[in-house]
Amino acid sequence: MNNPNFNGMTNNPFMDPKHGTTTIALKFKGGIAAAADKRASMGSFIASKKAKKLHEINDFTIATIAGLVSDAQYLVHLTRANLNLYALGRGYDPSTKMAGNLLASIMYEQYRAYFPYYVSMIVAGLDKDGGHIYTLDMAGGITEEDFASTGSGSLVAYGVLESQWKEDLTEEAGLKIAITALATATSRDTATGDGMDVLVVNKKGVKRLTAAEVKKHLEA
Amino acid sequence: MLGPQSMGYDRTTTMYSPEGRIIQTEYARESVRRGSIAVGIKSKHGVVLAGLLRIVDLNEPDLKIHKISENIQAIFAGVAADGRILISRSRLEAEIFRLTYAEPLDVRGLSIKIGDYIQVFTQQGGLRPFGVGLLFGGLDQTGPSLHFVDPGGGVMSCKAKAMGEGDSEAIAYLKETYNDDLTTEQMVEIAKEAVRKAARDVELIDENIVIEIMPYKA
Repeated sequence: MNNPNFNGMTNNPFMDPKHGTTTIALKFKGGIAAAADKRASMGSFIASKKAKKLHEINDFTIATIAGLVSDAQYLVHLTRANLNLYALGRGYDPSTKMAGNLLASIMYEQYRAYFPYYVSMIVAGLDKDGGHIYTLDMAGGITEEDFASTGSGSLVAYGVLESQWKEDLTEEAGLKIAITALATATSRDTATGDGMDVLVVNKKGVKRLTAAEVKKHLEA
Repeated sequence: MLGPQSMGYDRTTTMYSPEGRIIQTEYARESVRRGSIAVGIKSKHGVVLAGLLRIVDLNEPDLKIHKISENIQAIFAGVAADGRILISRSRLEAEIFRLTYAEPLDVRGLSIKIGDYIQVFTQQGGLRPFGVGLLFGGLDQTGPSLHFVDPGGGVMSCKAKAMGEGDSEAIAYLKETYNDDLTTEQMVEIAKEAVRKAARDVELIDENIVIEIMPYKA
């Protein structure tokens, strides 16, 4: 299922995304750190140098995207709309688990209709039970992890994450590991690059780091 | 000569009376008048919604003011079950709009969408019109906005509005005190007083009056 053109689409190389991305999410004590590059690629061509791969779903939930941009953007918007409706109807936010499983259900349904969304995503956030990270594949599978990475550079990033991640990291240490893992992937994966986007979720909510803050962590 | 009621013109929405009225829809407006009072005021400085909760026995009353989206709040008077359906639909419309255009829905746009839906129930056979009046208050591209949707599907932009039991007293008070330069604090006081005038012998306590303030900064 690694060819999106299987279902009668013409074999256009521009329709053949190579998962050229690295996204990372990891748990620290009291929150989540997430990082992603900004390169959107179509084969060897760089289609965008300021792609947004980290998305806020609600005040305490984020999603990272890799794969076909249109599918991923649509899924982010659809999840956000559904979670908003949930919160408006009840007066409280759904858990991170519900956010992840909602998205997995949508993706599974589409996979079973022989036309899957060509994406691989991470849904992460903070709820009353603490931080959670879920990885989702295009078949609708969902698994909970302590740290996760998707995209072409994920193997490189996992090397750093496996060797450095441990339980109960501080926010600073968590951010440092996420940024180091992404920097490593950037330097060894051709489809990853053009800077970094970094998000942190803690009890205050979701915060997007400025370029200066990212640079400070990178040099620390 | 028999009156239009005894001729049976009030039995369905699919038949006009000889005077050109749709009497079932007028009965629906009557059920709005039986609902608990709801008040809305707008000025240059924002929108304020206020309502009275009817506390029956040990029931925990519903919220009365419902959040539709980040920029719109709604209040209704009349049949609670009918109102709930329209609130759900309003939230869905707001999310669909955002999904399609990546912009928040405007108050007038939402009111017309809901008005269009309500109108169907005044023209199609076998349906009962909605027994609720809705007030949508919010901030959008046009600034502060307050719209009233009635059981016939009519949509009106209002400076201030009251609907429900005692609405004539409340509207008289609003007419006396309204100007378009009221601060949000003044609007809250006026809305509270309008509810108090409408409520007549109901004792007003913190638990049975609900207020929503949406301040606007140009």
